[in-house]
Amino acid sequence: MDAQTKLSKVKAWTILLSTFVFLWIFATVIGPWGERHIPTFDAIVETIEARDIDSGAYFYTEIDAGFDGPRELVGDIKLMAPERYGFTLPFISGMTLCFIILAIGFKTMPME
Amino acid sequence: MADNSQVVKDVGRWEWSEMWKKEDWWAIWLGFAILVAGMLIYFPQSGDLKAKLLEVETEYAQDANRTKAFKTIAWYKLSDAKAKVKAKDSSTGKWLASVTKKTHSWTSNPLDGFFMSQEMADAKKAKAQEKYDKAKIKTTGLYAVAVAAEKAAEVAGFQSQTLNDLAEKAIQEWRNAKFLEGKAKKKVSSAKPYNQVLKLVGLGVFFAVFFGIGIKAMGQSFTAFVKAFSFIFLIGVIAYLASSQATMKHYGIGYAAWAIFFGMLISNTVGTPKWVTPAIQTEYYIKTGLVLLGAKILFEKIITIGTAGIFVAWVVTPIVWLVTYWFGQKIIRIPSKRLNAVICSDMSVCGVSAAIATASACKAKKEELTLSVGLSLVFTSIMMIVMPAVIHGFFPADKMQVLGGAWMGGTIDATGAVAAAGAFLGEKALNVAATIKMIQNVLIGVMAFFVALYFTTKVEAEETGNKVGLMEIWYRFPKFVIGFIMASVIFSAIYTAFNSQVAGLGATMIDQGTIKGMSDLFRGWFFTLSFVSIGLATNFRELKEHFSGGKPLILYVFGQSFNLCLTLIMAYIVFYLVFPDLTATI
Repeated sequence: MDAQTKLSKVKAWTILLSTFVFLWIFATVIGPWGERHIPTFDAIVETIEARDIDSGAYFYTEIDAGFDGPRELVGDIKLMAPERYGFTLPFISGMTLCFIILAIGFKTMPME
Repeated sequence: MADNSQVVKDVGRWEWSEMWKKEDWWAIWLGFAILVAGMLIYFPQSGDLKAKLLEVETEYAQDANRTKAFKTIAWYKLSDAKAKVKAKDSSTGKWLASVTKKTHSWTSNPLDGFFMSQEMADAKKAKAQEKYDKAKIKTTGLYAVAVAAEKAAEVAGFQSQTLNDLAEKAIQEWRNAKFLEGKAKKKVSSAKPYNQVLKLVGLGVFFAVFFGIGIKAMGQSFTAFVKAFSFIFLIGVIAYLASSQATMKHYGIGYAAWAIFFGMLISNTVGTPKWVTPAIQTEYYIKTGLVLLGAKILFEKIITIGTAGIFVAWVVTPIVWLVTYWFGQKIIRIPSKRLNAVICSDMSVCGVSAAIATASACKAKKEELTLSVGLSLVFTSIMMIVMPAVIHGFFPADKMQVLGGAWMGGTIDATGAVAAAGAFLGEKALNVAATIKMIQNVLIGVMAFFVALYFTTKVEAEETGNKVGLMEIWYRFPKFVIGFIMASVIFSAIYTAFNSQVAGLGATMIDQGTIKGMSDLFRGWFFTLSFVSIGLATNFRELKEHFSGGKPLILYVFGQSFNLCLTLIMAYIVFYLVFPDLTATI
């Protein structure tokens, strides 16, 4: 039993440490190879590096474009079509439609 | 999420002591403590910052608005000057950013994530300076061209469409170059020696005490928790180290994936040490993070892109969610409604953050969240590469930017991947994609409330066989959702109130103050701690059971395929058929 436990501990630590080694090989060799050989990926990587984009970000506040993009678009609309900005009737209709769809879903979603 | 060791109790009885004994309430207290601290640090500056914004407006506004034909150089100077006014640039804000910083970027040596010597910093700076100098020369040249083009358009009284288009193009080229110059300059200024180790240790101690207070109040051992927390925090740091590696960043593999991965690697090989168990508090960390997330759900932001955006982001999303949920229940018969709901959210709303909120709202199991997040991350990486190529290859040239951007923003799950794919296509595509995704992010609040209400009033009622009254609904309703929504409502109101004083003050005080300068510094860490906890408590065999014949994969593929079709159709209709005048402004 002791020999078996020792072996499985050795096996466990081997798997753990070799996973880290594999990850490092992926990061330094396999991954970069993939970047160069997957079509368009190298161009996307160049864009990510030049613009310093955190492509692993999960929420809009974690990237610059999450603030810059909306600021640009609000500027566009306010300058060239200010009557279209804000809580216009079509906009309120869109929001209302969202809540109506959810209300319908609430009533009709299958229970089984 | 559900704790497997607890039995669902049918008795709905409210006790005031819950407010200091239950985890949901402690998530609200701790989350709001950070938000209030942020308000106390930054809001006193609002007078000075308002004055700065007014000064900027006085300097540039008249010149900026002299034509509506296109955005002039002065318009951009006004916008840039306002964007530079940030509450978080105070000395306290800079100190907070420095002590909560995760690991630094690295390429082949993981120690670069923690240390950089003066020698290495000088070499990095020299390399960055060369690139910055080149970028600066290019920007200067393009600025001169933009000035000349704008002057030519002005001489014609901004009445010549040809001259206006030329001026707009020249200004956009100058802007693109200026943006890249700014990034190059940032690389020069950030090339400084650092030693992150002590700061990380200090941060770990702070978090241990911060969360330990609630643990103690809930009747558990503070000492055991603090000791165990050191392990969880260490794995969290390793997760951030992996996510900051250059290649991993290129593939879009973020901290959440690494946190789950390393946690599961440890638990399924050498095993999670028993002394770590007191700090495996998945729900505690995640709910505190969600209250902080609530403060970023600012309702004024949804009017950014106007009606077109709301139809793509707020009408398509619930349709996709509900159709996919129906498909999961009726056609492929997913055994778990909660797994179904979490996959629907992460696929149709906005990936990991939506999955977290939904899983907590419907009390999903940790394996269900893990599976959903895993599916989302795999497909996100694929879509980030494939979609720009498809748009480039098949979309008409005049529709690539806006339609392509809206399509990617509404379908690619992770915000970072959306930005990468959008930036590859072009500036307009990036702006539209990031904005659509932002509007979807705001929908998390609505979806979390909807899911919580649905599962509390219908699903749990069916599971227990009892009809639920109002008190029972209150008892069962996940309380942290109230904190999440309250944070959103309060900060949305404050954001709008600031903006009503002077345009841009909301962004200065909230976006670049309490959010970027406070809540964001901590939220990522809290989610990482929770994902590490999930990983450490997850068995591969249990995870395999939830994969049940590949049904979650089939559900995701169906849902995402439907999402891709419906988003494209809706984006085309609203941007080109119904509101083409709005699209013309972009």
